[in-house]
Amino acid sequence: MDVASKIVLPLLQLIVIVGLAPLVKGFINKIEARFQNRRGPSIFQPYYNLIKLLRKDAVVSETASWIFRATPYVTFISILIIALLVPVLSSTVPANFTGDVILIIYLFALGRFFLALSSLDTGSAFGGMGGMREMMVSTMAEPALMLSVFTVSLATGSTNLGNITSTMVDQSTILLNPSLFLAFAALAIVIIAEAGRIPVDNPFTHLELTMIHEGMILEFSGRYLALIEWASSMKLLLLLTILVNTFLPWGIASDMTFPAMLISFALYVVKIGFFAFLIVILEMSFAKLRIFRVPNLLGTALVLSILAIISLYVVG
Amino acid sequence: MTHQIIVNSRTIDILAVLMLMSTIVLIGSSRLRVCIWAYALRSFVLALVSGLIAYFSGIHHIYVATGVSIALKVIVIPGFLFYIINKIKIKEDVESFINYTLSLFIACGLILIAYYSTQSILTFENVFMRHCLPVSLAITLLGFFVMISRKKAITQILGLLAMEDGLFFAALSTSYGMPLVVELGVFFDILVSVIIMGIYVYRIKETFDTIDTDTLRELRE
Amino acid sequence: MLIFWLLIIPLVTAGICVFIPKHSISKYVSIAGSFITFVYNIVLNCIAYKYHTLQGFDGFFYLDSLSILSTQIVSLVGFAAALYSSGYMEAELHDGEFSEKKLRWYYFLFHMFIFTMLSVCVCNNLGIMWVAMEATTLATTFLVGFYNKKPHHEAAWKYIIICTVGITLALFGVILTYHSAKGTLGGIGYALNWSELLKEADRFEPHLIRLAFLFILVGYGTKAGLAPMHTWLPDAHSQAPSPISALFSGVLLNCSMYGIIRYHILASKCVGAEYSGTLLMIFGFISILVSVPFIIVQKDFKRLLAFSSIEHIGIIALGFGFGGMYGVYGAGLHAFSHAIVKSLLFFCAGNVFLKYKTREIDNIKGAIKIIPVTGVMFLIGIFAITGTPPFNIFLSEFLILADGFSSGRPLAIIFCSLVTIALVLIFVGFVYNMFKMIFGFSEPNPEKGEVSKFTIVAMGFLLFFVLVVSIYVPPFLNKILQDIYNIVRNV
Repeated sequence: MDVASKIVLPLLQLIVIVGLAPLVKGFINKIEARFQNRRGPSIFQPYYNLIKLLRKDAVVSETASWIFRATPYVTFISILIIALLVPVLSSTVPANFTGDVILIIYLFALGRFFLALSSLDTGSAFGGMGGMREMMVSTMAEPALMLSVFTVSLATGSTNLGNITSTMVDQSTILLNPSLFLAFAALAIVIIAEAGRIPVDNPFTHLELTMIHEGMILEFSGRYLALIEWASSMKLLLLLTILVNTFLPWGIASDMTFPAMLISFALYVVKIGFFAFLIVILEMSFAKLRIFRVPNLLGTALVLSILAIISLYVVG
Repeated sequence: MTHQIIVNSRTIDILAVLMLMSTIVLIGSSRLRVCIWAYALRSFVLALVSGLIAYFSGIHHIYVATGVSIALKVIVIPGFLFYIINKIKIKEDVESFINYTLSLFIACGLILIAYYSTQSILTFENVFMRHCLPVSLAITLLGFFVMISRKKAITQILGLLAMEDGLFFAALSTSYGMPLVVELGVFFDILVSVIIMGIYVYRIKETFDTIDTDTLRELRE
Repeated sequence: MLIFWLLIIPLVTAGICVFIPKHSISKYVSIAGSFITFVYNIVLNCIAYKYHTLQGFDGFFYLDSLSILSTQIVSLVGFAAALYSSGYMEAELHDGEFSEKKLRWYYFLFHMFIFTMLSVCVCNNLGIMWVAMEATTLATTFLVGFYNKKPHHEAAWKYIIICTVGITLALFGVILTYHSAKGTLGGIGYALNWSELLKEADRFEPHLIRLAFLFILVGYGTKAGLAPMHTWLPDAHSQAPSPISALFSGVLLNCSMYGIIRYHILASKCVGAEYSGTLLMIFGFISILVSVPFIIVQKDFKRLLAFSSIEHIGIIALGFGFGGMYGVYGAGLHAFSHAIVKSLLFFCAGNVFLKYKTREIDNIKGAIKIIPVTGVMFLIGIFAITGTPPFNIFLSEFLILADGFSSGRPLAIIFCSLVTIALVLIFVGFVYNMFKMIFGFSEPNPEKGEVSKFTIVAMGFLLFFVLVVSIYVPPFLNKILQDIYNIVRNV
């Protein structure tokens, strides 16, 4: 691997993920507003919010311990590391040497773990409630995520996302495996849950009875909040990226030439835009589930992922 | 084994799995309307499969079954079910004897049984469409499970329809469907039985003031 | 074409009945229609009997001795039930149980029911047979729920749900049969014709045929009332109008059994009689055992008769399961005798119900004094159905048990010993419960006198057959039963 790919690719990838993540959020909000016959905020509104928040002072509760202060950084950095482990524009992954899919799952879990801890840390009732709900969701979402990713791993014979992507590109018939289809469906539900979108969670509400993710981060302010918001939008983008580049990797660059990267980038934006659009459609057509119905939906995802891996194992 | 055949059979496999997923919705969803939509979706996919099989195999009489299937199962029966639940102003939620998460996992177990138990048949049958037989058996089992685990009379009808879909799919995937005259007869029977059941759902609602079949326990020893 | 007309007659009768608003006319149409069916069926069966088998419409219809017996039972009991209906329903109409308008639908469904059952018996194509079998359920659901009250709705709902589920399972059996047949027969249309299947049955995939028979047995067994799938049966039998209960017990159960036997023959040829015979034996045995306690402690006399039907269908299954000459012969004879005796009993029960307006055994006393003709026939029927000599059910039960004992199989001998005990218990239960109704005296009782002449005629008609078959088995019946043995043993 030459110098260019060692330095340029990671940088490029970080720029794309870190830079585009708020845009995806803004895009979703804008389209949603359009569907509701509102003009809606500008598509760049999340950037303005982040800038505003970064400028402000953070207010920290007196009872909070070091965990509260560390959480935003831990969350943000764990997401940044994931950004280096996921193939984005090229099937070559920058941190290829160590990175595989199990690490990614645990890095997601690490961020969530710290968020949940910090939500308990301040002793606020809403924070604790949000944290508990988040953990409840993740107990069912995480196994589903793991199993569906393992299904893909089994089908392609690798746990490295980069290898998975390149195998998918090389052998197009692998994609026609029904088991992968099940895994795809499970993963889609998990992404909705992990990203805290309707019907699992409503990112726009601060009604105490319904919020999950928002409840957890209620105590954060200023630059801390900015980091967490940024990390959560990156999480959504990364999850979508994993979905897109494992199941629909067509057009991803396999070498480091400029035109290939450009085409890859254009396709990437289109695909991500398409899935963001699907999320909008979903949020428009469903109401948020009652919190006790959420395990139902996630249970479905879990069942689908179990079926995916077993049917792959049995039928092949 | 040419590439084309693999793609064809894989396509049908994927549609089969889609049908399975819409049956899982029937188990996992707590909303009656969603369940009926899921039934319509499954029937549509089933019709699609039968159309594709007709196309791939070149057996033309399957097209007729496809057409009837679309007319009856995608349009008439779901429409009729919607009509019934509008007419009796049903409370939306589906109630079950077994809670949802548990019934989802029971469903999962049933599907696994279907996959494992058909392996012995699959080994000496053709290598194509390997998901079809397990999926059709799974849909049948799931329909049966819905019938015995759900309280609402309408959901029991949906379970029955799932069973019938599963069997129809089994016939389609193992032996390109039944002879046309039999298939039409089966369609006719399904239609009439759904209508009669619908009428009884209405009558039960009128006399018992609920459609929980749980309350039907007067005739006992 | 000859067979075709057999199906057309009830269909046309049904069509006419629905357009006649007056019951005073429609009852005669109904009687005439079923009488023509009855007579035509006899003629047809004579022809079929002469040529051994009869086929029609390019093998679409198929008539052999097994079908002859079944259609004969259908049309005979059908005619009696039509006669009985006109009296029974008129009395109910008089009491204001339902409107005259609704009665049209009763006759329509009644004849549709006959039509579907005849179709089951004459269709060669196993798929069409399935369709007809399901159609019998559909035609009768409204008849079960005819009175439109709570228990009737409940019974009808249970009936249609349980039977449809059962029959859906049977469809899987049909599909499996088709699948395995398609490999050998290859053809599209013929691959489900029973007569064609039989020729090639030994070359089918045994694995699939075993599975298919199991599904068919569970599926059609649900309709036949074999335990443990029998739960709909007592409810439906007790809630339906009495003539319909008679048709259910006497005919519908036999038709379903007929379907099972067709597959039994196929499976026997493919994998040997042992497999399907043993299954039939087990299900039959369970059915007999299940019915015993319910007959002894029963409080509702129509339910009692219904459980007795479960017992008798179990005996028939047992007979076919043993599979010896005596067993099969006895089972055929039993099917016939049970059909007429049980219908007679249901008719009597209907008359008692009309008089006393209750089905509670404890509330009925001294029936033989109030309705003497019905009472006497009831008494005869009870002795006949419990297998008391000299009635023919004694003969058929004896033959079946003798076959079981002589077969030498340990399982069969255990079953037969236990069944003998069960039969005694059932006899005790029957006599204990029914004598409470027939004899005794208590005030206040309804006034004396039979309710309707038609019902007496219908019962007399059946009683005639009961007595005739008791005295001797007519030669053609004897021949048909022997022929059935040959078909079942595939000789």
